[in-house]
Amino acid sequence: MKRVSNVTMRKRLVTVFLLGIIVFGIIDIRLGYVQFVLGDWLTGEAKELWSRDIIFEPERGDILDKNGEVLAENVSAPTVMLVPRQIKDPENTAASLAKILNMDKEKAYQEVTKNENIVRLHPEGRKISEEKADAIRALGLEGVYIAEDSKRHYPKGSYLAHVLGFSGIDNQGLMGLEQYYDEQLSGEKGSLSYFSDAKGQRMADLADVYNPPVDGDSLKLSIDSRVQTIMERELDLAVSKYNPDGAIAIAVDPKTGGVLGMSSRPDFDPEHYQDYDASVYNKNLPIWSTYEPGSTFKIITLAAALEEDAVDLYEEEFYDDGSIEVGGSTLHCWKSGGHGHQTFLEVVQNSCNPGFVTLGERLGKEKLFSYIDDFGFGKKTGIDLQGEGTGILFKPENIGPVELATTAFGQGVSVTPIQQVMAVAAAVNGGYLYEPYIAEEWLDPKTNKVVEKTEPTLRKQVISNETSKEIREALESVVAKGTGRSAYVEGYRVGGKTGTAQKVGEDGKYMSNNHIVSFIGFAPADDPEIVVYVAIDNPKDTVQFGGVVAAPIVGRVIGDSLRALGVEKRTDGLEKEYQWPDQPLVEVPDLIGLTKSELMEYMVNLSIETNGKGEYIIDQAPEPGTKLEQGKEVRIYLSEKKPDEN
Amino acid sequence: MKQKWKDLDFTLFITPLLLTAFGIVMIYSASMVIAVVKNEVPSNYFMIRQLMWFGLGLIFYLFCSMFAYRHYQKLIKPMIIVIVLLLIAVLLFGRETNYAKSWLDIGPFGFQPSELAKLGLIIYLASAYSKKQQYIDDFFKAVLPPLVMTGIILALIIKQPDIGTAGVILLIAATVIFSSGIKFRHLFLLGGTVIVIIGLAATQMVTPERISRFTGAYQPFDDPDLNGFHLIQSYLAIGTGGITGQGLGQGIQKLGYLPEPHTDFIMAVIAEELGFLGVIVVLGMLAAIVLRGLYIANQCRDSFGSLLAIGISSMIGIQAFINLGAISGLLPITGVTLPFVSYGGSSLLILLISTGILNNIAKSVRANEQRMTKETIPDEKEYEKNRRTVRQRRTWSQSQ
Repeated sequence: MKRVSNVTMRKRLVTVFLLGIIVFGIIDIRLGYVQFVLGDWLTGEAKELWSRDIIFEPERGDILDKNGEVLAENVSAPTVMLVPRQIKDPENTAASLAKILNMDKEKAYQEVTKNENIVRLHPEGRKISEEKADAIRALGLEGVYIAEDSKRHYPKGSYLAHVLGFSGIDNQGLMGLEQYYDEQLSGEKGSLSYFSDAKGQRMADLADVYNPPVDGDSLKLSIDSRVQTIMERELDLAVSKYNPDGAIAIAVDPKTGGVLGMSSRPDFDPEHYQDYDASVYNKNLPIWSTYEPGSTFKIITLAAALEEDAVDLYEEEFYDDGSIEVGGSTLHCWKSGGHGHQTFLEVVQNSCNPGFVTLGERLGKEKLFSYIDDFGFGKKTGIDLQGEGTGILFKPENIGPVELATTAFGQGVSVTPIQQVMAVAAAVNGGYLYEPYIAEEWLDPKTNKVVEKTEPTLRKQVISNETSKEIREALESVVAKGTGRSAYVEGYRVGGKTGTAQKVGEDGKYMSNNHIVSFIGFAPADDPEIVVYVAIDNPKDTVQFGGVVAAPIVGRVIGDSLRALGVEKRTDGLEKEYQWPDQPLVEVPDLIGLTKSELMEYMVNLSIETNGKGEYIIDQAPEPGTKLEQGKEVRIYLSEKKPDEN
Repeated sequence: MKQKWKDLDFTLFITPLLLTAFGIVMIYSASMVIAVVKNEVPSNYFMIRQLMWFGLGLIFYLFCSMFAYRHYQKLIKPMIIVIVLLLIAVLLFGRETNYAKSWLDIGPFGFQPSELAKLGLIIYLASAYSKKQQYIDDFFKAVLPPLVMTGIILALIIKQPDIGTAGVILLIAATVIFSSGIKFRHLFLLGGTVIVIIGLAATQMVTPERISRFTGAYQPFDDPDLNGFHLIQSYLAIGTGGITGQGLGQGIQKLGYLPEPHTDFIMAVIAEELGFLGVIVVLGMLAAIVLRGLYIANQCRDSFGSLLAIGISSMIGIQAFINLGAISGLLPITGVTLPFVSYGGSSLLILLISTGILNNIAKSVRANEQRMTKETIPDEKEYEKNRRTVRQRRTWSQSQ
């Protein structure tokens, strides 16, 4: 037996022994490092690797009108789901799918061969028609399933389209209320998380985690579909009659600021919004558009003057000679020759520009503009919709006598329709400026219990109750006796004001024969229940006056709406002037040879129907000199050419 | 005979058995799902087979523990011939798995000749260098000749190609040669040569696939889907284990995420299911065998026994290091299994034979010590005192 006496060998053995200890030490430290230092992070990574989520989509909340009528809901829509692993013949499957769904064959092939558990055919196979779904079902393709998805349905088509907006293919709100309240409408996604092995098999011994989806709340609007229906009807009629560039109608409850109806033309069908030009659905005209309001703005001047005791409507008189000198320039009344001698109430009834300039001058720029500001112009009203305009006012340092004067009768300022409506609502409801709103209540989708309710938001009291009462009386007389006569509704004490706004063309100058004619009305005058604003942009084949085009529409909207809402008829209102027994008949003037714009002077007591196109009046019916009751129709025939002088 | 059993080193005898038994439990846990899902065999298929190999191995283990190790020196020539023939046979008739021809099928059982080659080479080198102890400083007479045979065996294994096993053999050989006491000059010469050869081979054998396997070890998350995948899965298993683990059988990573959960990556399953405590126990048992073996080598007066113990201990240590280094991202993944614990019949058989031999060396060391004490110290009291010292030393070494 050889003995290891070799000292070198002994030393080497000790070295190896120590190396062995070091090696085990290193391994130990390394494993500990991976286990403890990287542990938490790795655990997170691992959970992600193991868990598979099945997403449960929540049901999007319905949108209802004030009375619970459905305006937007969900309907089931078939959606194609693929399980690539089960597809035995990808080429044929892809070809058949591509044919039915009108999709690219290449793309279809890629989708059916994707290395995923479940593939959704996006977007061609999502929310398809029942016919397509049936066609696919009939083929009985392996690994191709038709799942029920839901899609947004607007049962009334283009009704209230701009307000409702629409939602996209993933049920996400893209426009209007659908977008503004997307979060609350869409609810919360639920999921079933389960742990799985590398092949996607569920692991039975690890608990599944199920988070049920939370359906979106139902949204009940301040919109009353009875009012909205009337407004939609009237705008449709106006469009067919006048072929305007656009049309706007807003109805608001002056007691709360709740919007009862809102409509505009051109409109669109939210279910097929892709078929429309984006400029149609992107612009909600009642809140987006800004333009010079014209005479409707005189209500603000009137309110300021009354609140400041700058005028006594009944006692004070004003003489209008047809123009007024302001800061070196002459501003004309719309009626050439002027209105002559009149009380200030008549100034309001006649919408007399020099009279309002005088009121503006009495107030001075500080006061008038502070009222304009108080009434909410120049800033957003805060309505719960996207894309609201702010309007443009003169900058304080730029306001000279001329600017003050034109502002007093509604020129040179730029406002939005909703601003005007809210300001007038404040002027007639006792002086309270409210924030407009559309979402009134949120309802639990299952129990229909109210989860959340919008309280009217009072911005401030702008004028006193007394002033407001005076304004109501003045405006009631405008409808009963003045320019707003065609808005008169028997028994409902309609008050209001016409407006004929000039549009600024691309060259920065006022366009001729292209106006936005409007009327803002409210009723009943003793206790207003509704404020309605209608504006028609550039109506064709008519005289472009608010009193001619817009006032009758407002009258019909108010009359029908109040009847529908069950508002009691009044008996103590102002009578329409022509119905007074001692009221003299009006002699029909000779209009032939006049231009359309000159007509304005003659139309006060008669309403005018036009036939034909053009600037010049070539014929009229009845004959000049015929005596008519006030407010009766005179039919005029228009032509491009001046009639022969003979 | 009773006396003979009594001379066995208890730690060294019992630990490999405990470790193997523990390994079988873990093999069952790790493989029950993939056995059914991937290999389409009953869930206990791998466990039963490992158990059968354990039964066979146990016979060899007990035999080798009692069979005087010195006799192996006489068997070296036929053994080397058999090994070389088997290695050639595997190249010709072997079964290919994982791109390497490493398996010879004998009936229903597969056998890896390279496993046998490891032990054979250890015995051969231990014998060769112990015979040449008198002139170990002579490079050409002592150092070089055994290296020729080492080279041949290495070349045959690289040809399969089984780079992992080749690396293990190279390191075992290096440890034995280092321990044999050859001159540092010669050591450096050999080391330099090996590095040059590896360098040259590397330029020949490097393929993008091999490089990416290498880089996968160090930046697994750069390439999580392909080359980093195995390591990430291993990381995730170890990382989620924590201190006490998910519980036996509760691991998730073995369900198809970990490659080879019952072989190469069994330690990852242990880490996931039994936590760091489980890891420490396994590592402790492995360390006990290896360090105890090295200690025996140190105690052994016979240079053949000493080198043999060094070779066997280092074989276990090196394999453990390469395997655990791979699963914890220190080393590239090479397919080296964890001694005793990983599934693999021929590997377990060879390991049990090897540790059986180690036990026999330990037994002879003990017997020798006792004989020496008896011979040199006739005084009864002195004898008792010495015995106590020995026992104390034993206690110390057990606590390693």
